[in-house]
Amino acid sequence: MKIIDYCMMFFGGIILFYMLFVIVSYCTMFIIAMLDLRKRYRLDPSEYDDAHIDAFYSKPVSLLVPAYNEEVGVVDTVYSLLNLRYPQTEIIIINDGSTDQTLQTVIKHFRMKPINKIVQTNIPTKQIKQIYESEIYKNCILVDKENGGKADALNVGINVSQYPYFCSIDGDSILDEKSLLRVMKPIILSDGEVIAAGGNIRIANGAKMQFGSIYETQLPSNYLVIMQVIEYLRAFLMGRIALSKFNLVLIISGAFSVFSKKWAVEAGGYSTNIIGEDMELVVNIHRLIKEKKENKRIEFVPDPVCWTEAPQTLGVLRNQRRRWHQGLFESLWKHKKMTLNPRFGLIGFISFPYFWLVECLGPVVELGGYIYIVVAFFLGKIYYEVALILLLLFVIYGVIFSIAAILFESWSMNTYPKKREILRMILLAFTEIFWYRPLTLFWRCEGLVRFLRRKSDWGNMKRVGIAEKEKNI
Amino acid sequence: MIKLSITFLFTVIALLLVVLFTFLIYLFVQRQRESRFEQVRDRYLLNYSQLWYDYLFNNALFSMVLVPRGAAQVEAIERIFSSYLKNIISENVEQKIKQFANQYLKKFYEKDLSSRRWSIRMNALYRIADLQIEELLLSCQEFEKNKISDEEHFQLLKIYSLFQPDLFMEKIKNPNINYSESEYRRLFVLLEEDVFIRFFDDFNCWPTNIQFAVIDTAAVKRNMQYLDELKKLLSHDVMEINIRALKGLYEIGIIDEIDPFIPFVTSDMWEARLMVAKIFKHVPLAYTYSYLEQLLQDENWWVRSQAAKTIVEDRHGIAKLQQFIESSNDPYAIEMAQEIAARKEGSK
Amino acid sequence: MSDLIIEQDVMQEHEVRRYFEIWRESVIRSRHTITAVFLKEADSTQSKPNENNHQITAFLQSKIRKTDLLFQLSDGNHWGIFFLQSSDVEARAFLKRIFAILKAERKFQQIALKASITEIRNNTVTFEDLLEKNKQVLTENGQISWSVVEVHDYGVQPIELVKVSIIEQNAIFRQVLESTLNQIVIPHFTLEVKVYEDGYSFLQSDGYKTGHMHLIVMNDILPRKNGLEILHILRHMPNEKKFIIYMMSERNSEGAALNAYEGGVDEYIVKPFNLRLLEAKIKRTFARFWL
Repeated sequence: MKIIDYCMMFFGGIILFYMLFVIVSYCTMFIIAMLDLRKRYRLDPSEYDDAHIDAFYSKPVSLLVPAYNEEVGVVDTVYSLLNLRYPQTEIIIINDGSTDQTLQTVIKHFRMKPINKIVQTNIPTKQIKQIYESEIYKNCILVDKENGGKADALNVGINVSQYPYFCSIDGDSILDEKSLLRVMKPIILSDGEVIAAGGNIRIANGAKMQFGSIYETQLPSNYLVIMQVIEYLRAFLMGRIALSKFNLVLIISGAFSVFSKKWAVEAGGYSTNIIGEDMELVVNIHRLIKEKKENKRIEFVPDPVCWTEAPQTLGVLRNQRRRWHQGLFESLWKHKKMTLNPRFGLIGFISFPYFWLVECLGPVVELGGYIYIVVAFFLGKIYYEVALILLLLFVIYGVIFSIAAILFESWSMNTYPKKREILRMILLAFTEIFWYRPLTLFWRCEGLVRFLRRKSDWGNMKRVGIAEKEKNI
Repeated sequence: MIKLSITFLFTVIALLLVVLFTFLIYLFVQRQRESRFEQVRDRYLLNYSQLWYDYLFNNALFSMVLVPRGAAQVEAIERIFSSYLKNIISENVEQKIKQFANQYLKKFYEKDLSSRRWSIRMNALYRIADLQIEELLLSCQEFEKNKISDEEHFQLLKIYSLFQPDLFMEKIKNPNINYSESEYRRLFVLLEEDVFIRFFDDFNCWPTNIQFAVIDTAAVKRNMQYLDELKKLLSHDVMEINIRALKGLYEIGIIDEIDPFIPFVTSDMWEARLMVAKIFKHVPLAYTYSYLEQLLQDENWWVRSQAAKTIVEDRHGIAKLQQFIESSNDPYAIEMAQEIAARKEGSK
Repeated sequence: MSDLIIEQDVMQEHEVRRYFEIWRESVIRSRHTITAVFLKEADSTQSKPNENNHQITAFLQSKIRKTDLLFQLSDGNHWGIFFLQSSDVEARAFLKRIFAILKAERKFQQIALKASITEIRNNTVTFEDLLEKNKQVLTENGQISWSVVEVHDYGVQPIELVKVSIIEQNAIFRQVLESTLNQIVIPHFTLEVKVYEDGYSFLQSDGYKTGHMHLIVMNDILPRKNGLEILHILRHMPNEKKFIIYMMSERNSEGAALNAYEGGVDEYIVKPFNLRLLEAKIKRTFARFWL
């Protein structure tokens, strides 16, 4: 019995200490984000938008859309890109050897005709089969290539692109018409000091849209999806904004991010042998910045919006989370030498430890906490107190933070304007710690295990297509 | 270890919940207020858009019902004005908008300028510039004496550049505040020609950001006066300035002599060589072919590619390229020439 | 006697009638004004009609353009000329020219003509009416040589319905465009203005499928099917010529304008633009349709 007692004391202590640490760091980030958003509250953004629609002020951007079996979503994505308010863009759709009708769908929809184009090989990639150009939109091209994974597809896109900046957009996401203009804002205003920027991702399930334009946002009805909506809000308020303020961002979502081509190419482009290719590129660029001792930044921009489809079933969500976590671990492990390395400054001293402790090992400790509570329940009275304290900390960590994020988002951005929707989200947030949290924790731990066993598997998401099924005209 | 008691945690949670609940109530009240605001605004838009059209375009008489009462109606008017200004050019309309804004909207923005909120002050500054509320110039100068952010200062510069160019030239010399090139361009592009040309007078005194912005702005303004100024900059000591000037001259697209460009064919910077290859697009091939042939064999991919593209743009370009392919022994240059020639033939 | 008058190398009244009926319909369909000129000898009591007739026919034949058609009426002493795709201005100029020659040259001194001009801008007139009317006019006109009378009975142009679709996202500006286009007065056309806020609702409306002439004023960027795609769809319809497409854009770049023109827009207008100029452009576009 003695051993168990010591064990319980020891683990209880660690878990409690960890929880306090996490809560404090989240609080700090939340406050930083709050101050930042409060400043911008009600600022009229259209002023900047209008001033910059002229080609003279802005820099041209190549939009890369890697598509592997995206026949359902890719047309809508391209429509949303065609409708972007931005003076100069080219759209490059890269068909990564899809086995479905992706290629044919795109060719048919945008009247693609084969063309000859000289491609400069900045980054070695798999073979390009054919390049097409749209008859309707002269700035829209389609690259058909052999299958090589998302990273390889993006590298091909970088090679084909002709503009100094490129933006990667998932083949199932929709961009808001002003999002590119706004995500490019820090890049343009800083004269290239900002070399990469990521946008805010929102969940498109439930939103009504057609031909790539969202015309009504609505909270989805699926509980699992609502939970993810809340999760995204939290990640955005307690993490991205604060990290970005101090140039500590390690992840800008691959679903919507802009990079300076020069830097991305110098960093070797996207790595093909790793799961989290987007994080990998960001870390590589950070490394390059420090090695060249240049004063460059990577930013997260709070308001540009990219709508993406979230998994609707437990199975798919599990795959996604497992893959994310495995990818995160892989990248961190690969660059473990940067941790606490004075050469990399704050990235080494804050970002890496933060990602290791909170994002990576967090799930293990937290899951330990859940197990502790269950075990304590069986072991009897003496542990009740610790277990209860732990539970209450979970409540703060899960419920309170979630509600705060929902309310704060609603105050500053107002994505879901209906009162009922806000109340529904808040109610659901109360249940988070009982089902959603433990589930995702478990899956992330699975990802960790898979990383340790070096098992890699490209979890593929089953898509229903975000757009309303529409009649073809 | 920190002593955590259950009651303490309960209190904390309860307290936080109460705070959040209060915030929720506040949020809902706020929402209510916003929706009332929107109602008023939309009603104004619905009722008076046509009247505004008649007043601004058809010279109908001004009606006092158009004068805004309250912030919601001001916002409605801002929307109407911005729709007009963004889509339509008409001196008459601009004049009427300016007059109205100076008379009836002035007091709203004056109040906003003294707001504690940064965003509200910024919005006011935006409007003062957009709607040309000249009567607030003094208030703006007064406002500048406060401790203001760089963004606000930028907006003030814009306002000065519109209403009082001399004051603007004086303020922009202030070395403490440095903006990015693109921000300077936003300012310069609005300047009158006679003000803008002053930047060339003592070009070397300006910080690099301003120098670059001046060159780029001159290029879009496409004025013959600036052409000479840009040509002068080709002999500037700083290479970056040479390249920018080349780029500007290329964009203006009027090349009356090629002599100033020839030294750049052998420049150390590939960007300069690339720009020369581009500039030669605007000159008949007969004068430039020998240089382009040299550039076609350049070590840099972009330069080779541009040289080939420039050659094929000429009517006799393809023939020249073919000739080159047969006679040359530079494999990279031949490959580029072949590709560009093939593409040109293909697109016919 | 009458047999002698009939010429072998000039078309006869009964042959021309069928052609006329086709041309008359194309007056409406293709907006091709035709003008008919009828000539008669001023002094028909002259002694040698036969000889003169030969000379006149040969002379007229040598002066008309390849797109004009000369024919002789069955009564033998009238000539008709149809000027295709021409207005009375050209017919007047023609008559002035040939009269001057006839008067000046010695070999024509025994010839004196008079003429009538009928401009045809609608399809209500029959061949018989046209001939009857002109014969009557030429008879009533008495014996004055070198006189030219004009018949205005068939010159009234029908009023054509033109559909106008405005596709613009900004509600206030949409209303401005609507009011402006509703105020435009274009002779011989009536405009029926409809507004749409996005591409999809325009395509759903089916209004563009009718045969009417259709003026489209739209933005290049629109939610749900943007302007370029609408352009592509319209320009690939079988009767795409009926569309007059004006594209408005915020994008002030040469590339964008070039793409739009290559895609088939008739005008590319960069915002902000002058509304009066837009009006003028539209008026000019329609003025070109009729001579």
